[in-house]
Amino acid sequence: MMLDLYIRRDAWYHRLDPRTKFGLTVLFAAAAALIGHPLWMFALLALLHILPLSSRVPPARLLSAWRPLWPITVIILVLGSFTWGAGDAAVWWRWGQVSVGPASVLQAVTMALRVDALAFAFSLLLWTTEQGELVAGLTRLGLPHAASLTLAMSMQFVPTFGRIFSEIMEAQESRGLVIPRNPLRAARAYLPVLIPLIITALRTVDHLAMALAARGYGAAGRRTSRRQLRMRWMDGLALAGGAALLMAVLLSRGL
Amino acid sequence: MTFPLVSVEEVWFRYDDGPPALRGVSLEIRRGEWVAILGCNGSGKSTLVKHFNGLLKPWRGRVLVEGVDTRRRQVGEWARLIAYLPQHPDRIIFSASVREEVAFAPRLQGVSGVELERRVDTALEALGLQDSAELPPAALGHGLRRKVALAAVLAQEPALLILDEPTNGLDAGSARDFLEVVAQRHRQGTAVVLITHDLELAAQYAGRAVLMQAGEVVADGPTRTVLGEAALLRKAGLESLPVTETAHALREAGLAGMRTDLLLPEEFAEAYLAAAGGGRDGR
Ligand SMILES: Nc1ncnc2c1ncn2[C@@H]1O[C@H](COP(=O)(O)OP(=O)(O)OP(=O)(O)O)[C@@H](O)[C@H]1O
Ligand SMILES: [Mg+2]
Repeated sequence: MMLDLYIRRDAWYHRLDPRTKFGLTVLFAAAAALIGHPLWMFALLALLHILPLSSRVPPARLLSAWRPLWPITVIILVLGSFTWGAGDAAVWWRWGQVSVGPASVLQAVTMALRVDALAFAFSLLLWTTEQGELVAGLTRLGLPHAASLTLAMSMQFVPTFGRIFSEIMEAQESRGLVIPRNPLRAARAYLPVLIPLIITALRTVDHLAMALAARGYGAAGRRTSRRQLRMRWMDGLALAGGAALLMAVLLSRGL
Repeated sequence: MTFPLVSVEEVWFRYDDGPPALRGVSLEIRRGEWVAILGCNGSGKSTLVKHFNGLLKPWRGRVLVEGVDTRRRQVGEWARLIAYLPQHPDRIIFSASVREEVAFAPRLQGVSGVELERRVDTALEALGLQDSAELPPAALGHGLRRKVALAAVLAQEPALLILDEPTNGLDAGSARDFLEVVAQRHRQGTAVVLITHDLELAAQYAGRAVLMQAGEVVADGPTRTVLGEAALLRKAGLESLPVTETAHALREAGLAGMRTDLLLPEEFAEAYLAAAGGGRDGR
């Protein structure tokens, strides 16, 4: 594949069985969904930074994951801090039906960190798992092979299209395109960028289909697999750790 | 005082998660020049030219276009002075017809009416696209799409035309045809910056060559002189032209008077005869 998120390392998280990594991703996502207190959420987010770093994912990659994430975080923080219909006991600021208070701010922080934690949970999986392993793992978990392949490939294409998008942007800006600040006019100004992106996507799909067919994909007969997956003790340990984390979250909620 | 078209001053640049891609590059592009930028993959050629119209902003140092720092304007505002043809024509094409595609950039500059017609027709004609003018460009073949992309940037009528490996994947004949169109514009006064791996094309068209290696300019001068530096080229990961190689070999073999700053086979023949001492009627 052209350019993907995977970072080749011989490190502990990378070596885990892909099924284990799926399991952990699900556990992290569940924890992120269930945690209700910003401090806990912060701890989870910290853990999701420590894990990739401990498996030798370069810090710069974590930083670049934050680049699209921080504006989203800020928007959620700002919008989430306002409550409609004023349920807050203590209120710092009020304007008609809209108010800002400590409870709504805490909730907004939790919500924003939750989105970040979810993004990092999935990034951790993609940073440490090769495409072939993703497909093998999903298939062994019962997904039809074609579906696993499609899913894995589309995940890997995200960065490729990100790069093509910026190349198109560069080309059109060089021709004099200026994206206006007014969002309504900006939407129209993006047409010269979006249309080439769609055309490129269609061409790519076409080429991919041909490439897969040429390699015999879809031919009749039983698929064989070169990749043998094996669970090791480290996988058991990691899953146990993830499960313990989720238990702790559940307990802290008093369930 | 007249400013150079582009002046790059001690520019350093790094992409977010990487080592510096440019390390203290300085150079000027003057009006009407044809400059070839040479270097192996990853040496920083594209990164450098993307600084010329502010697509990238220096991390250290500065880039001036006609004396104005590129940081002071948006990229789109340089379009009437500088055009950039990306390697891939599909990064450009979006319009419903070839004619519309070519008219896009001049329209953004506020050109309209007769002048717009003139610009579009001139560009279409230069590339022989008159018969395809009403066709949807995205549906054309790869070769034609490249021509549409070139026509689209020619219609900008810039003072500087930047071409990033425009002949990659073209056979020698098509590459030459393509560059002949550019050469025609150059003769009318347009400056050209051509990124290429093809030293023969550089030798044929560019008056000046800039050799890059690992983010630095290691040679900058008349194409003849730069291409004659076999050792430098080799160090930068490029192979010299056969004439240069042979000239160096002759010199090492003892032909002390052999010149090595040669570009064309005819020049080689003359230099050889002169150095061998015999001249045309020999012995
Ligand atoms: N968008 C990007 N993000 C991160 N690093 C990049 C990016 N573009 C280029 N680089 C890196 O910067 C360095 C210089 O790349 P550049 O594209 O300028 O080289 P080039 O001389 O144009 O090479 P080529 O002949 O392959 O086009 C390379 O090490 C490359 O990996
Ligand atoms: Mg390049």
